Amino acid sequence: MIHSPLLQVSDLCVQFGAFTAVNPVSFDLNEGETLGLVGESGSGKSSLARAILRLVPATGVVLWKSENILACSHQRLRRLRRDLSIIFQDPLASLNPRMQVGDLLAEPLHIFEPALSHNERQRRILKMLDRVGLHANMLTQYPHEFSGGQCQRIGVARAMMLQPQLLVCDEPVSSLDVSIQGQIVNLLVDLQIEFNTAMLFISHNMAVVRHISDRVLVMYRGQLVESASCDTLFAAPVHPYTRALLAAVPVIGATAARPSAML
Amino acid sequence: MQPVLNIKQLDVKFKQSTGVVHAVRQVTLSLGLGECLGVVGESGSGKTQAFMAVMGILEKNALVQGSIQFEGREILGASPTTLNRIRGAKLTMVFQDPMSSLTPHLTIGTQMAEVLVVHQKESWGNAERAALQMLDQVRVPEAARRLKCYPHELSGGMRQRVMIGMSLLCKPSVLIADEPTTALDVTVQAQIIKLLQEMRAELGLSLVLISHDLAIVSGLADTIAVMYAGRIVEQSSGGNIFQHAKHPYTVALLKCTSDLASPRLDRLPTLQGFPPDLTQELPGCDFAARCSRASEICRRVRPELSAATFEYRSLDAQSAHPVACHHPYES
Ligand SMILES: Nc1ncnc2c1ncn2[C@@H]1O[C@H](COP(=O)(O)OP(=O)(O)OP(=O)(O)O)[C@@H](O)[C@H]1O
Ligand SMILES: Nc1ncnc2c1ncn2[C@@H]1O[C@H](COP(=O)(O)OP(=O)(O)OP(=O)(O)O)[C@@H](O)[C@H]1O
Ligand SMILES: [Mg+2]
Ligand SMILES: [Mg+2]
Repeated sequence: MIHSPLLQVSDLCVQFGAFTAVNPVSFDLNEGETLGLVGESGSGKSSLARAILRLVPATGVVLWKSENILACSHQRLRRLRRDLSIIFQDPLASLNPRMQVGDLLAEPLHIFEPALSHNERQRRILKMLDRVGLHANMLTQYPHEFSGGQCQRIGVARAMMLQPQLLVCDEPVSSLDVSIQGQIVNLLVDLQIEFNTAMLFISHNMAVVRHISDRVLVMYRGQLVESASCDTLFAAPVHPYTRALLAAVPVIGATAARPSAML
Repeated sequence: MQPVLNIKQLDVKFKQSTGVVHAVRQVTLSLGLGECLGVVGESGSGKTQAFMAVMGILEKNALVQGSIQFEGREILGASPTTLNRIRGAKLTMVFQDPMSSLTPHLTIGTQMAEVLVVHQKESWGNAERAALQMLDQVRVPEAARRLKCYPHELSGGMRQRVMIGMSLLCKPSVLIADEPTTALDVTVQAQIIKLLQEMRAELGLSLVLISHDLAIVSGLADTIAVMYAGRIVEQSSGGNIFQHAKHPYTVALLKCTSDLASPRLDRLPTLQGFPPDLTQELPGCDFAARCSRASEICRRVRPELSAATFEYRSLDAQSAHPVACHHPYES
């Protein structure tokens, strides 16, 4: 099957003042595909993710269905945002503290589907809340009244409200227990199958990345150092950083901090 | 020997328009000098709030009951002056969400130095030097440049390392680390764990480690408490609990854990059902509705934590393994 990529990133570069967070990076993402993105803390993963959605200034080209996101008008960008969604890394900090959960989830619907009736809107919100494992009586609560993992799930629910075509997930399961991690990951996969969503999935959890990804990119110090199909990457990592990363994955019952696994 | 931290029958409730959320229920825990206590459990089970209560920094709508002794002194309900002397210096906490616990409009250097200026009456010059040294120690690359950065200019992992460094500046006797490694890549995770180990050895630091990462907890903790719906449901020595889990929740949690050695599955395993609504008080076991071993008694009578309380007994802690279950797995 031949299809042109949904997202084509070429020579994307992110600079903060004199500091280069992301050196020219190029990759493609196909419809319905999941691209894992792993790498060192501070290697530029979040910056790259934000640059794709034009949330930080960047140079290069980000083609979305052959339209350059980095060059389109603001009006056009607002329209595109309906299809492009992101789950942010810091769940609490990314939710407006003065909005109740019900309003946080209603907001994207108000903006992009204003014709929806009140009842239909409530129905969609309740359904999503249920799918991320939260109770309906939490709708009137404020973000600070939730646990870390609950905030993360609110972020996930909000990002999925509009069934986006591209979902950028920046550490979407990091503060969840393994069971709810599984629940959210399964939910993302369901959504992907149902709506053919493409995903860029950033995580430090190598087991989850291995589970969900078709291909994996590895970043180190602002560079893309390795790119391979998921099976290849985990079976035969090439770059020394990728090897160190896989060797450092902790295992239950093993003693902590095996120095040999460190760089 | 006296435990440094002794929590007895701690209850935390939050008043809300829709009811009272009973987030922490009869939690009894103790932490011995130099010990590491691991706390694991379901998202929303009260891990963070229990230790927010210890720090005396719960939201205004919270109601706390029970007893919290720090170095032999009751600190629950202590005066703000007493608390301020202890908190942030001898008793510190690294928060789960590093972005929202740093002040956005102050540089990292200023925020770190301020801790020493306030608590140890250091000069700004000395404090800034100590801050730089600490950033190096927690492996923040290019530490000198980062000191001049604002929180949003750091990556998630760096912010977390800054928070850990900040909490260690005053050489505390107890550090409560809430998910200290979640935003870090596994190589840096290993470094942070090693750092915490070194601090335990060097400073005699006692550590509370709250984490969803069972592998990390199992590698570091001397004793581990498992929480479900606000209660401790099982507790044992670090080496023991995951090999010989007794509570069906712990067993189910372990079944959901996958590592790189496990086969790639179509779907990740999850627990069926949902955690109970914390505004309700169930007569029986909170886990019964999701438990494959539940019988009629489980829905009617709440199982007590078997060895009533798990007091600090450094040596025989190895053998003590209380569990709150009518039908525990045999170990
Ligand atoms: N707004 C900003 N201004 C200046 N520097 C920034 C800014 N945002 C990020 N940086 C820097 O860019 C680099 C990459 O950060 P980024 O957040 O993209 O890393 P990351 O790979 O997501 O790391 P982590 O895994 O820790 O979240 C870091 O060195 C960070 O300090
Ligand atoms: N201010 C508040 N008002 C009402 N309920 C609250 C408040 N703060 C916390 N809660 C509730 O208390 C419960 C326990 O929260 P806590 O933050 O301790 O969970 P946790 O075990 O740390 O979970 P996680 O692993 O997701 O961080 C949650 O169900 C949460 O919704
Ligand atoms: Mg990041
Ligand atoms: Mg928490």
